[in-house]
Amino acid sequence: MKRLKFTKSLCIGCGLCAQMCSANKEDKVWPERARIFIETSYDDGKLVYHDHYCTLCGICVKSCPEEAITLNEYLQVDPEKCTGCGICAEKCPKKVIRIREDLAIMCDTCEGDPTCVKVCPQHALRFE
Amino acid sequence: MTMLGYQNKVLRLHMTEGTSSTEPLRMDFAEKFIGQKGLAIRYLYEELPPGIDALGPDNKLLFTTGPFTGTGVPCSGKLSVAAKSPATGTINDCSIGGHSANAIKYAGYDMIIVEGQAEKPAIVIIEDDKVTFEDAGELWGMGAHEAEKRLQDRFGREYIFLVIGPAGENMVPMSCINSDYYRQAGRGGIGAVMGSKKVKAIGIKGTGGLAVADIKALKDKVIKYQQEDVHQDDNNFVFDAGTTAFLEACQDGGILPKRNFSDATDEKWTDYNGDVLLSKLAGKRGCGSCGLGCGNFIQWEDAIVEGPEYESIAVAGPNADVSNPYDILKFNQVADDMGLDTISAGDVLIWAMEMTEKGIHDFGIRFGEADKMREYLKLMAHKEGVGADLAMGVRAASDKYGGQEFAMHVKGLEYPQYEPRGSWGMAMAYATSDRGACHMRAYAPNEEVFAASIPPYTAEGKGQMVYNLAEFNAVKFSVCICDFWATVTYEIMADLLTIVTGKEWSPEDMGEVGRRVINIARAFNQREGFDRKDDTVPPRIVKEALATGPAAGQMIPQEAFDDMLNQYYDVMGWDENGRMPDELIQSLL
Amino acid sequence: MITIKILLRGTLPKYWEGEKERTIMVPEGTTCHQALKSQGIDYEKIPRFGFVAVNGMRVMIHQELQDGDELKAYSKVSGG
Repeated sequence: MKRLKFTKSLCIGCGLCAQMCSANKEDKVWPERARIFIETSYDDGKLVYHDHYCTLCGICVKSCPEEAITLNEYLQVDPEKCTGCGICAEKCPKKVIRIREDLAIMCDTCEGDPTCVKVCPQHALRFE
Repeated sequence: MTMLGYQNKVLRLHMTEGTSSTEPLRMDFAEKFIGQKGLAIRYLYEELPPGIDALGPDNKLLFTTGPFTGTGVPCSGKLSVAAKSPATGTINDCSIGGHSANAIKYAGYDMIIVEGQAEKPAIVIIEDDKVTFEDAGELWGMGAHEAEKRLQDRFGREYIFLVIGPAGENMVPMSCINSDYYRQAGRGGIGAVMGSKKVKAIGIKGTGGLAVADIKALKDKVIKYQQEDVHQDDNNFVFDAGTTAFLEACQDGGILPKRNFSDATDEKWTDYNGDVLLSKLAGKRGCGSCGLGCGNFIQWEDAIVEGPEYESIAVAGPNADVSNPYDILKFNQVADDMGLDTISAGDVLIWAMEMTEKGIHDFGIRFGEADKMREYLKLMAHKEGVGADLAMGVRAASDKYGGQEFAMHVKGLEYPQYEPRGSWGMAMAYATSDRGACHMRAYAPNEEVFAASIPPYTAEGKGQMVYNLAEFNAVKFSVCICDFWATVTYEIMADLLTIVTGKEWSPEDMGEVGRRVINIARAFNQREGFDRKDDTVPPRIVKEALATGPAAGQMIPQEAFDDMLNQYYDVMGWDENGRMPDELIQSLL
Repeated sequence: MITIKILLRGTLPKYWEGEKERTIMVPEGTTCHQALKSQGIDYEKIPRFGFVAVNGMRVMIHQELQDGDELKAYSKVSGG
């Protein structure tokens, strides 16, 4: 199964991953509503990486009390079953999952063709 | 029509009252000037009465985005910061990189206008539509780096801060505004305007989104351009080496300034070139939405800086007769922390060195004295001791003490680090640039020196050459694309603008906008009383010949300079005094 | 015949698959342009071709080379 891979040293903090993810999934360029959040910042004279991307660890699947999340080649949330309880978001080790309007929003790798990988200008993100 | 890609909202901060208000964007201005540089200057032309004090309550400080900001269009992460300049009295638009432009757009604004003057030092915190004014408290007086760190620790990393250092607080006319620690809106005393309004910092958190006309086409084009055009080697050199790549080219091209522009080559350039500086590279970082990542994060002992850029290297290196890379890096770091423009601060220091060595006036600093340079930066930021005179810039200092022959400036803005005797068109570009001597309006070396067959030591054809370069940059910095996407074309700009805004733009429109932007800036200056008498060249360039390099023996005869000016005025449709006819001004409004 | 060294800067090494330096022999009177063209770098065909320098000093592209010269070729740069 392919998953997202991230190489810190190649990341320049441009934020295009989140920008284009949202452009693909929402009807606006809205990085706050993306399914990937990778940034860099300076702190105390050091360059720090904040990489929140889905590694398909499956913890959300296991922790969902309604069994609303399935994982085949990518994650899918059944909107009929999801109650928006937020447990998956809490447990997500990469802090990628968000809850909006009582529904869990998570990365589905653009159904096997991730936009973030396509746009990442320095190839810090790969899908393999 | 209401174009998309804009938030159609301007935020005004009324610092005197401590309140804020919002209003729609002037779409009629945007249709003619698009965004960023052009839009900011149009607003300032509209709202600033002529003759006001640039450090008084009537000046306005504009932070302006463009339609591409926040959309993911390559290299669109820059923010225009504009006001009337306290150094020159002209219009002054700066460009800051980092992440503030995107933050402002996502917070829901095209532009933030800072007006009036706060009673006590303040900070302004903007979280989408929530605006809060607070006392700056102990932040006032702090170095820019420490202040930014305190703010980040308190408010969190989701906020981007625009901060001034002590130099801006003290209204030094060469102070800058910082963001992301190491990015600056650098020149013309823009930091002093923020300091005159007693604003220590503005923090912005933006969590909103941005509608564009054709989001699917945008996504496809962004991916296409980010992967294909932007990443051609011709642009990617900024990722590999940043602007350090210019050092060798300027050395061989004979335009690397040495000892306050006394000469134009430095045999010690290999001591501090890109290979040496980048040997301590600790990371790469770029602006929002930019795939080129030009920022070199360097840690050299306690000299920690994202940089240095070519200008800073040249002014603190060969132009000061310094060749130790640590000294160059540390100069950059101290200047950033104090909130001083490295170009202007460096230029006034090297002028002071020549004054001291020539015995005209003893400023207590000589060529090569790198630690004194750092010490003096702090004195200048606080207008203390010898720093008080130097902080006012080379024009004011040379008016007071003499040494005007080698005070390198135009209109009071100090000279960038490209020696014009080796690139004659550049002398005219510096002279006619809208904010004083600036290399980012028309980058002449690209045609005259870094080109195979255009002769640099002649006035012929330079009017048109400089105009073409100036037009290109004027529109490029108005649609919101960074200089470093060198291979972008009017076709690409027009295509992306159409996809984002929903209005049909053509490549010819781009050229027209460029011309219009040059003209609106000139109109602002003309209203302030500027004309041909102010489009000057320093005496050194006209009277002293270079000693070394391919331009050895060159100086620019006054007739050649006058000829280039005449050509440029002709191309622009201005009269022989460089003044715009009324109909031309009216056509812009 | 004369011996010259060619160095490539900026983005030009891509024309030599990443190689940056070559020493070659050319007939006397060969110009910078001719020497580069013989090695696959034709300034007339490369839009972002910049300039040439001989022995660390910029010269015009049609300048003749001498024995022992070091010819450096640059692509265009921009910015500040």
